[in-house]
Amino acid sequence: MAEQQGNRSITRRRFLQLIGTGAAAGAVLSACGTAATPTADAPTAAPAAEAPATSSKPFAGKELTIFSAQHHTAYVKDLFVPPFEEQSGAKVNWIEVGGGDVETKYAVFVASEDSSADVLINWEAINAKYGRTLMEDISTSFKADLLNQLTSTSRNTFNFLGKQYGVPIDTNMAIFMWNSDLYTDAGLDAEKPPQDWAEFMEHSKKLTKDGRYSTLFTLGDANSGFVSFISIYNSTGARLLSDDLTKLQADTEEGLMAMEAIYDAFVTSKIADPSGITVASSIEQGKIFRAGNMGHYFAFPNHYTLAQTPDQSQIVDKARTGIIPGLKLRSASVNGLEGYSINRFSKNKEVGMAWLEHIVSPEVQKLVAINWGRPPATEATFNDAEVQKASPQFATVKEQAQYPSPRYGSPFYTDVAAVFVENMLNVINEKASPKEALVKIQADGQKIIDDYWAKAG
Amino acid sequence: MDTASTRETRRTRLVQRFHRMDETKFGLLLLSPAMVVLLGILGIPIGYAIVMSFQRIELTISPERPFVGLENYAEVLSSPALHASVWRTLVFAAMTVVSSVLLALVLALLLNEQFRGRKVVRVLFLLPWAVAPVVSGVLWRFLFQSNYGLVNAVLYQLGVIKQYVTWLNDATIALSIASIATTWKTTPFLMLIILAALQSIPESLFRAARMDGAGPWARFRAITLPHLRGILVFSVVMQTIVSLQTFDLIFTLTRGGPGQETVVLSFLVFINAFERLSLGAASAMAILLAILIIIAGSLSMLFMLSRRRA
Amino acid sequence: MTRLLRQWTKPTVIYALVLFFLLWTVAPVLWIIIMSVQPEINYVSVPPNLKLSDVSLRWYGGMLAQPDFVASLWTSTIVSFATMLFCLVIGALAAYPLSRLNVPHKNIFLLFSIISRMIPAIILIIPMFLLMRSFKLLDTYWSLIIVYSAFLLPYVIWMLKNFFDQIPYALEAAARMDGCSRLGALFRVIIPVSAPGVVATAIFAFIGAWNEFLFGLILSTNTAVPVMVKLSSLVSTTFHSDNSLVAAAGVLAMLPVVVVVFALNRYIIRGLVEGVKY
Repeated sequence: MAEQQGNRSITRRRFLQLIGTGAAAGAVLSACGTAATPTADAPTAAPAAEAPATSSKPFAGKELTIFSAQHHTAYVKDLFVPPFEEQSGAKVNWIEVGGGDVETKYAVFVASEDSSADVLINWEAINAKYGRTLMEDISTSFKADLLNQLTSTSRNTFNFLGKQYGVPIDTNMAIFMWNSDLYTDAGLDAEKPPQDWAEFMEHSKKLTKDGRYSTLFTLGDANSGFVSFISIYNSTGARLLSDDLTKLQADTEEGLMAMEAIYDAFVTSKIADPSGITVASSIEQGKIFRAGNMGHYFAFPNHYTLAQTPDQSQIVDKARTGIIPGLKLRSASVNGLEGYSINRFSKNKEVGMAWLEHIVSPEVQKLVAINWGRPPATEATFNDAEVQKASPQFATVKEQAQYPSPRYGSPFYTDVAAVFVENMLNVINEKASPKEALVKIQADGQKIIDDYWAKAG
Repeated sequence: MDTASTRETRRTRLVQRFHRMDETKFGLLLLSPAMVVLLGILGIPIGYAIVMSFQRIELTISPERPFVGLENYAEVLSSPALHASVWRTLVFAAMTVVSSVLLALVLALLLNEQFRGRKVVRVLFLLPWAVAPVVSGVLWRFLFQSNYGLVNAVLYQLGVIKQYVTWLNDATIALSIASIATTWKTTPFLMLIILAALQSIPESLFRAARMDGAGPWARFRAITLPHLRGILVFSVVMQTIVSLQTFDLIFTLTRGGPGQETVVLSFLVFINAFERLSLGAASAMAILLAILIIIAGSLSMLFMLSRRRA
Repeated sequence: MTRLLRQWTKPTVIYALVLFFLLWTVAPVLWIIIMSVQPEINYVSVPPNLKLSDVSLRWYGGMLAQPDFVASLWTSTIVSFATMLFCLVIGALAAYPLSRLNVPHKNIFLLFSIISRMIPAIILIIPMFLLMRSFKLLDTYWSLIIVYSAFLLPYVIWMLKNFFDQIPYALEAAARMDGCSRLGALFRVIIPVSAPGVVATAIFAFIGAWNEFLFGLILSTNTAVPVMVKLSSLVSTTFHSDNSLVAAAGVLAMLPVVVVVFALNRYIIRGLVEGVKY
């Protein structure tokens, strides 16, 4: 009897021991969870703590959480945040995810009305989709004179259906870039870009040789394919989408011009690299160019900076920039600019507003132009002598900005873009003629738009 | 008064009650932590998702969530995008299940033989199991990259192709590549459990068969296959369920492309939820997908079991 | 002569097949390892221009110099380990009655747990986010551990049940006759005897937690970011830049699991191969 009891108590003790160790482990773990491994933010804790209570810093003791993307970290976080913390007294928490994951996170933010981030990274497609439900409307609260200092392109990008939801940090738009050596090699004038589309095609035919294609149009996903299309379409001077975003105007004479240009480039003249069909990233395009394997292409301006950097490029000093050759107009381009917005659900909107004002300040805009290599958002910065010296391609950007460059951001952007790309692929694979493709795009695209507005009503 | 001895007796009585608890109560007690976790952590979100499926939620327009009954289900079931996706998903699942179970069977049969280095090979075959779906997607995308992928390079060098092929461009090929990647990743686990079943077949049966003059194919048909039936059923059912749910791989490998051609059902749910922000429709689709998986799982089980009579 | 031929064909066929499938299994991983030690320009050119002289570990250095990447490796290690323990304890407690005791509606419990895994996890993301937010567990190890365990439990319970089923009741009966309690029998007899199976299940849970991506993306933002999420952010189609860096990150992300699988492969084999019977 005593033995039995002894055994039972041993096992019970064992059992309790297990629970005990489990609880202890849990306690240790939760200690690990809260005492987080020091992030790069740790050093910035010091200035905020040191700021005396009577300082002139308006936001001393406050925190600002900025939600951004990984490709902004090296510039925005490392260069623009420290002066902001210095001037405002606020402590900045920097959160980043991969650029492709931003929308997924925003979907969760909007669905859960999350207030953890105060400032959000923004670009045209996101602004159109999330502006009304996630971003704060700053049409009246953002200083009008600051707004007027922006280039018109960058200001309008974050204006959706009449309301301003964000502030741009640059005026990024595509320009034309070519390899002077390859031009010479093809018997072309190394310093003169094609003046119109016809000349562009002529040049391309001469450049497509030795196993190389003259250019590459990205068609790897809905977004990049659509961008390829409108970079050509915009130069017809027509608008693809009505201003109130209810009518798709694809099956038009101008649409046909653009689609036939695609057909020509891929099928008839075969000057466009067929592997563009799997390339979704303009970065890939740039790499091929910088390896000396592409004659010319439509590039974002920081690609020029990269082409001049010795360990990123094999064609240093060979790249030239000009404006994109057009079908009907002299030129047109596509926007790719980015910026920041205030989270509608944030509890810290004043500090967020201070950040927005900060990124369009002359000092930061100069850093954007010189250190980041992106065209600035404010007109004045273009005229700065230092900027012009460091980034000669901005003269081209300024010229390019004279011509239309709509991106057609909308809540149904991805869906409509997908319809475009699907039918463009049919044209390229010769499963449909340009006209047939446009008819289908018009039908399917308009249906998507109609369905969307039906739900909104 | 609460003396030490009364406390002691109370404790002993509690302990005695614990140990004398009847089987049912004891069993339920042990099951309770698992039930709490499953019902609490999985059950609540599942319930929430079911509720969402009856609401109209369009988060690009407004935060309102009105109840619309079965409207979401009707809309989803009649949408051509869904039909295309269902077909695509079934094709993908069929390809993956057939290739992975067959491959696992072949590998298991191989490992059942004696040869030098068998133990090392057995470990190496486990490698894909250890590779995460995210990494796998990246890996296979690099391999089939049209400009510099290894597959193109090797085939070109071997003279099999005259110029580099844009693999991920063609819809069928892209889906097949996704299937190959899934097969690569999931075969090791299946191989192991089939090998287990193989090794449990008594050697005496084979000896007897050989003495009766049965050739290798006849031995396989008469002895091996019947013993493997159970495990093969299990493999097919499990692979079916896993393939119909594939998401991580498509997300990193093709992101639904080219165009929308590799949008399998789970990815369509993702698009509706996180790109269109139509949470109501997405939830309805998810529930429908779950029903499809349950049906497919049960059907494949019945199919494999019924062949017993054949 | 024909007997000699027959003697030689079988081994040749076997070795040939083994070699082929070994290549099939290992080649993709080998390629990403090669990519992680060569500058991009080498393997991006047509044909690939791999140079032994260019082999360098600097991309690994580059990734390991990033504190948030190292932090994510650490996070994944802790979370996966804790998830494994959590699942094993709760799973064993649940598998025992399902295997041994007369509990009403056993099969319903099993069925429910399998069916709960048939709902695409994507749709559970937002409600899970809301749930964890209400418990104030966002961006902590705990939210990941709890969520991962919930997803892995059905498999763990089911696997452990199968292993327990194979232990002859006689062993347990002997222990009970010696005065062991039922719980004691579980911990002192059943689990030790089915150790290979338990270890195999543990590894399965560890791998399952380590490889998880989607919930890690949503539930964590800064402090408790698992390595798969960090890797995915590097790979984001439109924005990534250096393929060698991505390859190095990929190798680092799968290294721990590969090491675990190889080091414990004996248990996996014993557990799965010798344990699972139908």
